[in-house]
Amino acid sequence: MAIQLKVNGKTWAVTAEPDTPLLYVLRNDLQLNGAKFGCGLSQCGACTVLVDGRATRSCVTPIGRLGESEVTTIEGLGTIENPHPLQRAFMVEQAAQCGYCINGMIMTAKELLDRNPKPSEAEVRDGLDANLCRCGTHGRIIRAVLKAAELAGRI
Amino acid sequence: MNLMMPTRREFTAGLGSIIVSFSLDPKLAFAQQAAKLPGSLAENRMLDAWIRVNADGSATIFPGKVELGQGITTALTQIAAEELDLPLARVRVLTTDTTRSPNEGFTSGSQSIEYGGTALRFAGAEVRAILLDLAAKRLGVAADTLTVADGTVASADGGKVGYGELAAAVDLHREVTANIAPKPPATHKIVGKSISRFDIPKKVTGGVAYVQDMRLPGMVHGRIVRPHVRALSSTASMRRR
Repeated sequence: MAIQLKVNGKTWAVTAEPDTPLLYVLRNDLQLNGAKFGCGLSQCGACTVLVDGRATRSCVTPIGRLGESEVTTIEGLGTIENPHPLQRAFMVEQAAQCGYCINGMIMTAKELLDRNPKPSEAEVRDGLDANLCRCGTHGRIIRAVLKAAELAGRI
Repeated sequence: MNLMMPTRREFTAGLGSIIVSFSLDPKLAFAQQAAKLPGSLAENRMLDAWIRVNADGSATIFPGKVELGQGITTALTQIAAEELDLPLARVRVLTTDTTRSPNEGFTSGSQSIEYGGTALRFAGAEVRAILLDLAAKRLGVAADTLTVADGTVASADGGKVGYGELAAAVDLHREVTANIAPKPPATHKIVGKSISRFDIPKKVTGGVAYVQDMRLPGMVHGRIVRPHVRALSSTASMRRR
């Protein structure tokens, strides 16, 4: 069936069943690469997007439940030429090894910084606790989120 | 772990040398065995498998190891740029492609720089020497009197020729000799510098960075739909999108 979705400020019409995970629609129908399929079970965080500003696991979010909600993916934050402070901070701190978890780290940190623009290191650690990184890039990721708070504060 | 074992070719070559050691003329025996080349050149011996010189004065390198976030795209570019005397921005990298790239086997075991980097280091040094020979003929001077900076060869008397101008004349479809010594580490200007990785900007902005991001014409996505309970007979369905 035809379903309307609001993604990154645009309304899209897709043909899919209402129980289709949002992640599949983002990647396969809208061709957005940012959100990643990691575990498919809401356990790793690689698929995180914002739904009405809240960090949400898109692999277990059926599109039929979204209604009028606004979905934001990492593509909606910024571009290589004009990056969001979080994206810029992750580049500056070189905070990626394989990089597969980084979408989830950035999108989860986005909600965190929106709620708490000046988090302590402990608050960043706590906020990203449920996002897994198997490369062991955690130290750089935490530094990048703190750097993003600093960069955003300057604008 | 396979890389630690002798490959079939090395093993066969070893057998060859045992057999020919019984022949009367040791020079004949030697001629039958191809020279051992450094790193991954041993298995991929043609210069043009590794490097191409482009008409715009840039070079393209073809690594056979895959970027997995270990940063080899960046590091191998540094190695090639160093040996070729090109700025980093004028060395392009073809992402590993089975139809074009040399077959370097697995990307594992922290061996990409040791094997692939060694190959590009020697290949780069040799391509630079070939370009210098061509430039020497163009400029009518001896090759050892030339200097190179940023892909432009200069003679003592002020003559200049760029790599791009030599690109059409350079034939890299030949076996590597590995007789040209790469630069000594003490003279390195690009290798050894900590620079930003080329792959990170795409990875933090949703760019095409993973094999999962490739979209080929007419590609469909399949997945196995498993039953929720054991009592059901399993069925597989494929959803066309």
